[in-house]
Amino acid sequence: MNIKRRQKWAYLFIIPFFASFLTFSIYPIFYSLYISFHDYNPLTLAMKPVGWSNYARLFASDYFWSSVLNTIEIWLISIIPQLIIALTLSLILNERWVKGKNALRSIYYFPNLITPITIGMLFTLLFGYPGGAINNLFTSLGIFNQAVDFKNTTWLAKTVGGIAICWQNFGYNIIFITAGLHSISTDVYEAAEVDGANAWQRTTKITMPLLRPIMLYIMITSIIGGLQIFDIPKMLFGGATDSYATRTMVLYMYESAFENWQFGYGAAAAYTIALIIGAFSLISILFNAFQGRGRKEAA
Amino acid sequence: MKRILSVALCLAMLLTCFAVGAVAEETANPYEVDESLSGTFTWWTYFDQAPFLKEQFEKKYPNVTIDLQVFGGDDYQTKLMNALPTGQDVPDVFDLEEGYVYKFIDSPLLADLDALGLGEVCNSYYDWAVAMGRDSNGTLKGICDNVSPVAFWYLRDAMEKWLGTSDDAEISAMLSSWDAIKEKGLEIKEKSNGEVYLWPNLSAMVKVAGYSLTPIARNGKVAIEQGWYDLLDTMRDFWEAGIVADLGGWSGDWATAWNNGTLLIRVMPSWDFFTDWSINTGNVGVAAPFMASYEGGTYRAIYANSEKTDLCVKFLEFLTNETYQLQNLYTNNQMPANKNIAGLLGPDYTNDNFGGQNIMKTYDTICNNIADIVPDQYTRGLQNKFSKYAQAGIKEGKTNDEIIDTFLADIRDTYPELDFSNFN
Repeated sequence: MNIKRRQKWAYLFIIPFFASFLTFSIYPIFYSLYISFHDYNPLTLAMKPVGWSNYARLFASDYFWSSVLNTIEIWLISIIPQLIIALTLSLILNERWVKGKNALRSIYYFPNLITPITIGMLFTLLFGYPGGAINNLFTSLGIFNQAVDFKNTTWLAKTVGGIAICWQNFGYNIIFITAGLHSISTDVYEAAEVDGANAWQRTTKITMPLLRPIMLYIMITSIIGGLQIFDIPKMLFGGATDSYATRTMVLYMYESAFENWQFGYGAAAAYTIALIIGAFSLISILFNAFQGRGRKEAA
Repeated sequence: MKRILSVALCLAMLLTCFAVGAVAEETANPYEVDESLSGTFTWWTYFDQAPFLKEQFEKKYPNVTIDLQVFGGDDYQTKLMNALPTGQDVPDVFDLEEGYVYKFIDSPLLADLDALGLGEVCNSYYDWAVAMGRDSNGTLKGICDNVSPVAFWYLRDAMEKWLGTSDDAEISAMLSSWDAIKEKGLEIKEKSNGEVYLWPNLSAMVKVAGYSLTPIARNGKVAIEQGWYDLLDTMRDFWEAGIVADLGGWSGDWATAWNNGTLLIRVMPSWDFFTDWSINTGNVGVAAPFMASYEGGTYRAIYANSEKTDLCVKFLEFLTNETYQLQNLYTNNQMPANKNIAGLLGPDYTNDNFGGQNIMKTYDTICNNIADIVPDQYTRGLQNKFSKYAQAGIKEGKTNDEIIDTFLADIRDTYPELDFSNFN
């Protein structure tokens, strides 16, 4: 069978994937763009063209922008401790003297196997007011004078959301950082030891710079995932706080489309969210590229 | 002789079994069986008690089978919304909850029940219960089988201890205004050293007053009558007096506090499922609040293009039937939408779960007092948002105007189609 004939067969084999990809991924993407310029009634399937008005309404909405800010705040509250905990634990677990590394890595990874819905409900019970586990514990220990209303205190509600996301994901990041650590040649460390570098110098001068690609990967995936947070805030505190403190931008989009049935507006929110996530990812990539170039030039 | 005796004994046992079976069958089927109707139709619902209705209906119509599909969670309405316009695998009958009935009700995909002769079978319903099933042109599109009047739920022993009575009429009389509730709340707080609360939370006040005030949006225009401002003042007064337990409605703490007697009142509709019957059977009471309201409702609609319309009509007719609604009351404590039932049961009706109280009488009083407000798609949603901003604002020490401003900002964002000219 010559190459051209073999290629024809290859096309036949990839048709099922591309057919489903075009139908269930590409088509909805363009269709939702089309909907975003319409007022769409889902029961009659009627589409009324409205031009840019859904986007104009969205950009003028304080609630949308506050949901964007909430998302960024919750993401920052979760990602900073997440990276610190994951990096610290990875470094510790990478040491030869630590026993039961694999078991510990598995334990740290367990929260990632729990569905976000369950995590949301679990944290709602933990941080419930007035009788949640945290309130009961801290009040009995005398740390709190009275029960704290985590749900309806804006910054506390965001913090609880951030902690929940951090708890779910730090074990996942340990896997990547550990892979990054294993990819660093032991020769480099041995050479540094011979040159008299101590543990701190080895970590800051060798490990950290060589982990940069993996940290960049974690940052970009975290930005993309973190800015799409939806399920934990949706379940946390029954999906609502008095101040909308945990209403993220995807939750805002969901409420617009699926609770208020404003599908055109919801689609406009979805496209705007995609642009925001794209912009943040680009900033992250450019920042890392700029830093990398700066270091090369300095060297 | 022994053999004869054993055969006789066996026969006697067998006859007893048949007799018991016959009696059981007779008592188990309160309906006049109709075998002339046959076929199958599909019914979609989110309602966990739906199998009871299916079972009852199939007792009356043994040759009809209902393909009942129960979908839990919020996604039910999304599933329905996606299915109906396509016409593919569409249910013949489907349930709509009060929270989203208005999203569907104006759709031509819902059959006109007046045209199918079902308007008349609802003649004996409470007016407001029928109004919720009508579209914006007044056409009947959905029918319920039970209503959800809101009452003060209490534990008899706790009320005896703190208010000196467990009689529902006396409790209603004692708590016949916000001032009276505040006074009793203060008394109980003082007597119990702050361990026991009469009132659960601020949102319960909106629940009590919500349907006695003109809805915030009428005919697409937003207007906030003075009563809503007065309610804010009262809520603030309660909060500042420290008589509100501040236990979030439907939360575990709220349910536990009530079930163990440290919270005396929960403001809940008749379908309340937070009572721990294992410890409180016979100890529960319900009293009529001084303002009548309701919360929730399950409306059944027929798909306009259904090919099983005759079966669906019989089904909807059946659920309006007094016999069925009585069974639903006895088995599930669901309050009948048919107001004749209070009369049918008479003044001597008692319910053991509720300490022998005639709950029908209490609920009938509430249902008859519910104001003649025809809700629309904004009514409940705006009440909920008002409640949310009122609670948050009062706790943060905001003024009424500040609370109303934040509330209006939110509803402008959510419902831009409303007319806000009263506030420009």
